[in-house]
Amino acid sequence: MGNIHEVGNGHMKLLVLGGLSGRLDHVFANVNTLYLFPKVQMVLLNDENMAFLLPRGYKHEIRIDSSLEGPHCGLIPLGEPSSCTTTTGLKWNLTNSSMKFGGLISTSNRPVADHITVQSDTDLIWTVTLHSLQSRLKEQMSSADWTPI
Amino acid sequence: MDDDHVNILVVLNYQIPLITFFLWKKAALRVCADGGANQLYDCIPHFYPHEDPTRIRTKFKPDLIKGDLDSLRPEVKAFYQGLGTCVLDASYDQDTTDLHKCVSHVLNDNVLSDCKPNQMRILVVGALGGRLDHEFGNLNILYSFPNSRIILINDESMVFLLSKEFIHRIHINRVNEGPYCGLIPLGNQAKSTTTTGLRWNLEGQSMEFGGLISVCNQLQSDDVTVMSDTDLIWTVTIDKVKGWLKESIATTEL
Repeated sequence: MGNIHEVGNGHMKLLVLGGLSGRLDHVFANVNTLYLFPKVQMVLLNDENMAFLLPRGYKHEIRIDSSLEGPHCGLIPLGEPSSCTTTTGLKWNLTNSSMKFGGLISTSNRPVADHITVQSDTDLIWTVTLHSLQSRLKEQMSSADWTPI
Repeated sequence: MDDDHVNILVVLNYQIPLITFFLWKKAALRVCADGGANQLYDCIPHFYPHEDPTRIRTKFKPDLIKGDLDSLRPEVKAFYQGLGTCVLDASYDQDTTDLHKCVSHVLNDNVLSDCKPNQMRILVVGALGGRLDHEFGNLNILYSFPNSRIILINDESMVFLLSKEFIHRIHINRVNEGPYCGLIPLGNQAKSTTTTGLRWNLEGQSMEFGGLISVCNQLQSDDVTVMSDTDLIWTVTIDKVKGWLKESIATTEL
């Protein structure tokens, strides 16, 4: 998933499991945590989805591992409208586009390149679906060597 | 659900919650958004395992299937069309979601005679859980039709919009609803929100992502009032209904 190999290089990435399912107020509380700690690399995960924050003001480069990620993705202006968002690498790219709840938000989009770029005047939530995860996990779990502690 | 409003049920393309079959009986019109028809077709025999699948599918026939129809399976389409279900292909419109198409059709295209849009309550199942981008897209529908009564509902939660234009008095049925609730400023920062009837009331506080949002709050009264300078999402747990839902479905005469 993405650049998990950086964990060994002094970059910490927080992977949060179980934060995207269940009670809706809990889901929003967990998503809010991404906004409360914008400098921490934190990813919310479940079997179907991965979500993380793209803080405003940066040009983000997102690497897509197509063996696991996709085919669907979205960019969500949560908590504040965006006047100007630009992307590359998506089926429906945005070009200085505005997004807001009550208007356009980018859902059911698709990554069509290995690298996506996103630049926005506001914090955005990037979400991408995960495929084949369940079958790969089941395969790994059934072949894992469980050593008793 | 039993009041002067006319209930319209919309089924989306995700796992059908148990409450669908309770709401089905309360609805004057039943609509499937594209692959919601597949979900209905596949799931209904499991809820009534002792019934003949064709018979039970016929009993739960939607009035309308609408969307871009890229998910609707041919055999499902043929089955329901054979029973008289209206199937509307809106694939010419790639700018809106299937739910948006269905809600717009219900509100604007005179689907029920003698029923004006302000008399309607649109109940949407299959909108929560599943793909996160779909979930946000479904929540966006609440913002896109702020003057309409649209409720997203599953077996755990009920969600609707509180428009900034009004002071809201939400009457709580505490047998079925709660105890947990939340107020979420999804689209904009809320500079000032005031509530009554909650365990942790707001008194003019601001709410925003990156700061305070009202989650894990609790109902303390049969009436909750909310006033805010921005549109808010209200969410309340309804998992108490599971207790009587299964029995209600099993004992209902078909």
